[in-house]
Amino acid sequence: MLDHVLDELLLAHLKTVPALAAINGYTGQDGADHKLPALTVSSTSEPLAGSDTAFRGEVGIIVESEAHDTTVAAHGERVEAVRSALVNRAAVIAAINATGRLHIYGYAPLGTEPTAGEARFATKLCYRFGFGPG
Amino acid sequence: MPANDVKFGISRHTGTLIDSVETDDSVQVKELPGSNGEIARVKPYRKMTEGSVKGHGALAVVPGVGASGVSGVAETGVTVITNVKHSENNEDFDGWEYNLTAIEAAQIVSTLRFAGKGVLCGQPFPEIVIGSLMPDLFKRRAVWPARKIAIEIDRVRLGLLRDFTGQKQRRDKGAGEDVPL
Repeated sequence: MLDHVLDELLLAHLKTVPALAAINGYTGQDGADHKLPALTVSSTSEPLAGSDTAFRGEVGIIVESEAHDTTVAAHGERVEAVRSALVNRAAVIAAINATGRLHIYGYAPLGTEPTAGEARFATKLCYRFGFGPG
Repeated sequence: MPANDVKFGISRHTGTLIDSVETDDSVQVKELPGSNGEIARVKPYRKMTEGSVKGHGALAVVPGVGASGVSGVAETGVTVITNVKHSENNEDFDGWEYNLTAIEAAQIVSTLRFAGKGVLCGQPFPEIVIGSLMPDLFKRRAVWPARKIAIEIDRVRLGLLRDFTGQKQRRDKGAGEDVPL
């Protein structure tokens, strides 16, 4: 399942960022309860023109922080670390394609959805990926 | 029980990333009413197919006369790719779309020829050929075909259509002079 591979590779890439290394990482396929702070990558996809070789994927990268022991600023820094890690698209694409498990044609940010609950800050960064088998 | 007369997906184009293929076969009809007001005679004419293909990936189609890429279209006659549109989107795959018109009874006009000798500026010169490599009559070199060719002519005198026909017939029989320019 390419969606799972995309989630896994993208999460691994983000976890190489020092500011995100200590955060618990999950993919959308993990059934485990999220232990905060958490970084979750979850995607959905649709085939391009009904093909088996190219897909459009909507990827949500969710940064969650415990509200009682994390300041808004600290949460914001984690979100910024994710965003900046994906700014250099050519480098990200090259790194993921080099695994040979997936081929990314390109991606673009779609926006962010910050939310704040009683006990947590959560910010979802949305991206659209074009990808296919490696 | 599954229906056996339906298709799912693209079957008329061999591309792998085709979004859609649409064709519209049409014919015009000339009707002649009879004395009682009913249509007594009909003549279908101008049978043609118009269509479009949308897809992604590499595309070799260019505007002009060419293959439609759609099976069953214009196996006889002429197909013209009327326009090709390429698109890019900063958050999606690139894509293309082309439109086609196929006219079953048409032939390609590859060469327009004024048969026989002509006279230009008082000087006789051989035939003018437009549509293939055309000899530049003044510089004596070949020029590539152009869609529009402008030739300065001081005086033009053309006969009626029957004159052309008659000249062609005479030329076929070996006569010399032809259309004066």
